[in-house]
Amino acid sequence: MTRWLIPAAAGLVGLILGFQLMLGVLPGFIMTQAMERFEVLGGVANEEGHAPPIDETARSVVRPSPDILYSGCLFDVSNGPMTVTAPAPSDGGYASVSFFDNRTNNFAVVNDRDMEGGMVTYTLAARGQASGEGVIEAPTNTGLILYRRIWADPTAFEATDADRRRFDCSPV
Amino acid sequence: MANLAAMIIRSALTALAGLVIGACLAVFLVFGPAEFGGIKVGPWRTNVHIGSPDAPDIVRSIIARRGLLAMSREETVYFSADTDSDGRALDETCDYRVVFTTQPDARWWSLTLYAEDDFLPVNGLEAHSVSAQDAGEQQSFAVTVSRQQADGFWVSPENGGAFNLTLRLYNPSEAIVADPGVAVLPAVERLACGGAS
Repeated sequence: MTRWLIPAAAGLVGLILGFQLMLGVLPGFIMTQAMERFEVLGGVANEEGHAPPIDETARSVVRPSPDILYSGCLFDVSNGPMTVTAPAPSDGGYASVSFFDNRTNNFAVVNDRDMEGGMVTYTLAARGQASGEGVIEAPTNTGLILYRRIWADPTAFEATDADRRRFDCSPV
Repeated sequence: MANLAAMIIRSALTALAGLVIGACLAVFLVFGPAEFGGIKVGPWRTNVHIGSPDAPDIVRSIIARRGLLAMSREETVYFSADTDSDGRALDETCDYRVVFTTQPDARWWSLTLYAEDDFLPVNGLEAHSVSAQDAGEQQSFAVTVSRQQADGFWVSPENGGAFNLTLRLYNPSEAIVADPGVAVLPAVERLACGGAS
């Protein structure tokens, strides 16, 4: 009986282990791929990039919204915090800044309602690097910041585009 | 002694096989067509764990594959539908009506059609979405989903295959944040199938 029982138990343990290990690895793998695609598109760590309007040729990230203008920033706070500045839309529409760690978790998000005075500035830091008001702590040293800005009026593209290009990220 | 050695070898081999099968099973579940858990409202499905660090590994993996960079539900609730209201898979060769009896209870919303690869269908028509901006003050209206251009609100599934619809609710009401199941969402009615492209 034990002749087969022990190998069967070993197989079951292996099965569970393989399943859990792969599930643990996949989000980071998918996020890394997305970040690499962002780099290919011109995104440099700790520097903002502005994606062109979404159309059917957009293939960087699944389910892009054609109603949104996206700007982004790959962050790496290994060597120190960084500053993130985001503009509120001048037309009163919706905008948000969302912060994702390298396992795809959305660890912070702010929207235009938080952008009093038309602009908001945050400090993104690794654990222990900074504290106080306006500091957002990143659970991982690398990740992605995404600025979304509704673009629902095609006739206002130039103004909307100029507006969202005030999104900025840079090392402190 | 020989028996013990044989059993150790057998155990190591079955453990290795289990490891590989387990990893393959995870990949199949994440990249396959299956959906797990979540809240259903008619044909619409959402998962309260989207964007959340508390998401179980299987849910986080599936979301990373199908909704990477989605925000947490306090900011945006994402509903998706890959069937009509009668449970039939959406198909680009059929025509549909997405019938709103009221606008979604959110600050802003958009309805977007994605091809079965989860990207916008490539058809040169630029008819991928309808938003709150388009609806304006209307509360009761319908969006036609058809390869043939339609009057009024229209999105095209041309080259979308077994397409899906995503309804994004930006800054949803507190009631929807607390329980997305209370959202009043549009029905997806199938009309005719098999029309010419």
